[in-house]
Amino acid sequence: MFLDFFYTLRSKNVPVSTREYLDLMNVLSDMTSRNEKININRFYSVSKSILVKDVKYYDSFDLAFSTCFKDLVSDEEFKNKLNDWLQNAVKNDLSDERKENALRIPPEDLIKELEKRLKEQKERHDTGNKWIGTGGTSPFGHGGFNPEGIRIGGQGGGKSAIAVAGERKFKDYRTDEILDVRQIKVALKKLRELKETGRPQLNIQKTIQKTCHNAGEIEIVETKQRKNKLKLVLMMDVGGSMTPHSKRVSQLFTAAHQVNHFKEFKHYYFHNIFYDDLYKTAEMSFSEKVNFSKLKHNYNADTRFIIVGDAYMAPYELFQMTGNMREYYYNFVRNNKKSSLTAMERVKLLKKQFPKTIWLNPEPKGLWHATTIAAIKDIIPMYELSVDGLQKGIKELI
Amino acid sequence: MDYVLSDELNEAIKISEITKRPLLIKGEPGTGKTLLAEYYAEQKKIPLYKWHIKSTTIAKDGLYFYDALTRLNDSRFSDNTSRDVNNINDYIRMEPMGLSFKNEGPCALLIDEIDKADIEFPNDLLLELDRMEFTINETGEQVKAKQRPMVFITSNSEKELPDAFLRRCIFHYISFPDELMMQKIVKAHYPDIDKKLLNQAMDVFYRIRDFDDLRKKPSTSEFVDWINILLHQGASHKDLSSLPFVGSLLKSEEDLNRLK
Repeated sequence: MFLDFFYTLRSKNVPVSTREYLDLMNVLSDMTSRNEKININRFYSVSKSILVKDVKYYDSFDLAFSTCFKDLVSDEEFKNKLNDWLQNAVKNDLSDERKENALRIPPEDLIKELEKRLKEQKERHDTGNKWIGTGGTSPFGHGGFNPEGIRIGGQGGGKSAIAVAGERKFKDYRTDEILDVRQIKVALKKLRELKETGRPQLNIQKTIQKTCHNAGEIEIVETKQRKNKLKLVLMMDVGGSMTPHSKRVSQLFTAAHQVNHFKEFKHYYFHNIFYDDLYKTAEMSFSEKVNFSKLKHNYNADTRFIIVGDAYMAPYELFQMTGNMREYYYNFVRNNKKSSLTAMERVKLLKKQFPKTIWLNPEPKGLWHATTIAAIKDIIPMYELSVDGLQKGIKELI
Repeated sequence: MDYVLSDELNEAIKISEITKRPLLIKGEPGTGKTLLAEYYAEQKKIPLYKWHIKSTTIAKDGLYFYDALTRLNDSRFSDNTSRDVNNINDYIRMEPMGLSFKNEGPCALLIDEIDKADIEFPNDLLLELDRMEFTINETGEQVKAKQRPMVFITSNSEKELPDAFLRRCIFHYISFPDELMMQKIVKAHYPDIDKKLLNQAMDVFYRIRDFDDLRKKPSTSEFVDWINILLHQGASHKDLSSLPFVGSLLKSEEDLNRLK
């Protein structure tokens, strides 16, 4: 049961390793050797402190915990299981050492066994695991276990750990689901490329240091300031099918705007896909637009581009000249100016001109097989619009 | 000192003692992360060494400092000094982490706001935290802790901490106290507070926190400050609905306007 719990955590992407597992065993055997009372509530808080290293995994931990321990009825049962586990795990050939010193269990055999199991788990995992739900929804409801059914001795009025775990208080801290301006800022901070700039300035600290090392012979040290030289352009799809995602997009925009550590940060809007023009405002008025072909004059090749859009549209909009009716009308019918490229060709061109470009898609990965999404994804690396996705994307950009 | 320890946090401290690993504490600002270390040291009656991290801090800053400038000065104008210029040890000063290693007997070390420093900073501390020892480059002296200090590390999650570092820590997130816990906290600070006033204040406070648009939600420490002001000004519990001294709860003008 406890190993199961461990693998459930792994299947829910909580990064637990042998080290955490051994720590947990050490602490628990230390506690039992001192005859401390361990019930399921205590086990909940103990295992949480040891196995989870970030609040973003608390929710996954709670889910795994209630999946694995929801069937336990009483403290007595829990205690027996725990004892079984501790004894079985240590018994085989370590019992002498354990008696000597509960804190120092030689871990080699445990690690071997664990690695074996981890491999197995991976294989089972691939064929579909009942614990992995879609979209992060709980595979069991609050009603799945009746809080009254769980007897907890000596804990008058207290909630059982399972009930607490079932509440999912930390849902908001997940990073694979939600975007929070602050978290995005943290992610964007990684996007930097330090470069020495400006005139060298007298570095008093280093001058003193050097002079002292020279036994008093004065040596002047000058250094340059280091600044982030990275330029970032954010291009956002607005309107239409993007409307339901507008909150997340604006959070990303707010964060990028506030981070304030790029050498240059610019943003443009488009609808569906970029045609001849990009717009400076979300209302996309024709008065404030930038021609697509100007991009390569305005930015050098190592400027980072982050494109946000669902990439979902009718195929003709991407593959045909007349893709954008509005522009087609405005440019061709009225001004007799013909667009020279299809949208798809422009996507390719952008990636060619600016190799460090990524695409963030607010739609769940399951929909990415749609024609237009798949076509764009082939050209520009695509990530989900979540903190996790952004972090992965940023690795690509650095 | 008045500090209310939740059961889970208490448990985390115990685990950290058993495993001899640093306790990493995160949580909203104002939930008492830094106070915890002070409280712990006070309870155990052991010395606490505090190392406050700034954006320019490097790992060595916490270990020791070689005061080359004073030595240079002494070498030239060394008339009335008790220091011996020929003895480099007279110019080496231990910093918080070094002090905690050198301390005889149990002690605690607080590394405050570790996320303020550069992203790589926590990694530079791995060895020192693991082995509890370091070498003074200038003299070759090895400093090793006779007894591992209890290490508290706080973070506001401004930067993400490296995995290798997290691996070595016990982690606890101080979540925002629920009303029951909050009552305990206030009562720990002001044991004679009028019950009606407290209830009213709590009511107003949690209603303010429920506003989602606030840039910075008021936290425990702000609430305790507010209660303090209310008590000093002798506010009767009738006029709380007009939000007296709300400036101590909300610190930005935007938030104040939004509330109105």
